[in-house]
Amino acid sequence: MSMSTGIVRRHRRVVVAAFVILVGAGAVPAHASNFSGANGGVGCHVNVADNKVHSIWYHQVTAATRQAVSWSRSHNYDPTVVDTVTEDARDRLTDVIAMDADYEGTTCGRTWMPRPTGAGLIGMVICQSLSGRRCNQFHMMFDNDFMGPQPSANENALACHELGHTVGLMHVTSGCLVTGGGTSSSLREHDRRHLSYYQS
Amino acid sequence: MRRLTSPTGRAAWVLVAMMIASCAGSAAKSETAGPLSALRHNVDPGVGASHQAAATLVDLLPNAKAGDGTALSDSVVVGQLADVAPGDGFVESGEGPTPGRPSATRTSFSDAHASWRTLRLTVSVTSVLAGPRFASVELDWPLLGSARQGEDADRIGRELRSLGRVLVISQAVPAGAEYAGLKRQIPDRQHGLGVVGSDGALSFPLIAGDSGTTAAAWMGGVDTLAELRAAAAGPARRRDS
Repeated sequence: MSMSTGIVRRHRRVVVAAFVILVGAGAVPAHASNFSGANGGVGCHVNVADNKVHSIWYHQVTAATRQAVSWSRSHNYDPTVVDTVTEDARDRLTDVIAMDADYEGTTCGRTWMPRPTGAGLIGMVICQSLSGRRCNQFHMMFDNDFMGPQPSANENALACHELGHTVGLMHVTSGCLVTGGGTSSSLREHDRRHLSYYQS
Repeated sequence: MRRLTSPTGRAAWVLVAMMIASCAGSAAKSETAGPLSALRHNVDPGVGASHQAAATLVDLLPNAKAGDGTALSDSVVVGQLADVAPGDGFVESGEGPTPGRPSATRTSFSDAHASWRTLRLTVSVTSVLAGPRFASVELDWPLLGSARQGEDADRIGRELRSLGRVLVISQAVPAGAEYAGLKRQIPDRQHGLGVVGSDGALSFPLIAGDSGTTAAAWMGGVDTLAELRAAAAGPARRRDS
């Protein structure tokens, strides 16, 4: 192989590598992403789940909360690569502990809604423990000033929103992950595509 | 010289240059992402939370009552941010607070294990539109994470100070949250902190494009301080949201 031929081949490799990097970068619109990715943190920040089998344990929840979570599992998440299952008892491998109460006070700097006609926090997800950089176990909380007094469609929307946080989805401008909450009880196609993260 | 003049080589270096320029552009963008970018992120910082809020500015005023006679705020003032100081740190238990059982343990602002912290803002009041005749208002402003791995308190403080003349719609912290030492807060920070221009025009710069609403929709035609003063001084009305 002559020196000039070698240089041209090296250039071709640079072209191919550069093309792959540019196309690859273009295929992942990170700026438009509402997926947290694994961030290795417990606490208030959204983190991803540690696997695609998403086990849920209901901790003395009301019928309204149980029905809304169940509705959202079957309508929003089970049709994706995420498989939700319920557990009869919690252990350290339980992925989500669903709970509700008339929460009164402040969590992660947000104050819970003090009464059904008030304003404030109505749902919250906190990562309690890690498996590597992913979240091993979440606490998913619903306020009974919302769950129960609200029409079931709104309760389903809130369940879709909070379950989304337990699989790493963050706030967006439409769909059930809309900032603040809202009345949509649907995931967007964009959200569903993010859940392919759990395919591997 | 052959490497620089070869068509294949030129294409390679053009592509590499594009990649470098692209990366450099991204870095520059993140550093100069707007004068209030940290503050806008601060009011929705990737927390797994949802909340119920008023749909319009007039529904957030103290004279807008729900069917049970309650309002979403108890004070509307205009003033200048006189001081931004470190408040407290809090470590979350993850259990959710119920009466007599707080969800967070209070600690110092600089605790490396804090889940969230507060800045204590002091607003020097120049005009009261509704509520108590405050000369100054102290507010707790939450930041996510610890001093070591959390939001940049200094930058957020600077951005708050840069707002100039502000409109503050606040409420006393509800019973049950007092354990945290919090006294008064802006219940909905995207919508409850506005800016009053020198001509009296109102704006709400913390309502970001990704919040699912717009500032114009939130203001609902109440565009000036005079219009807001009139709305706040009116008789009690039934709120729609």
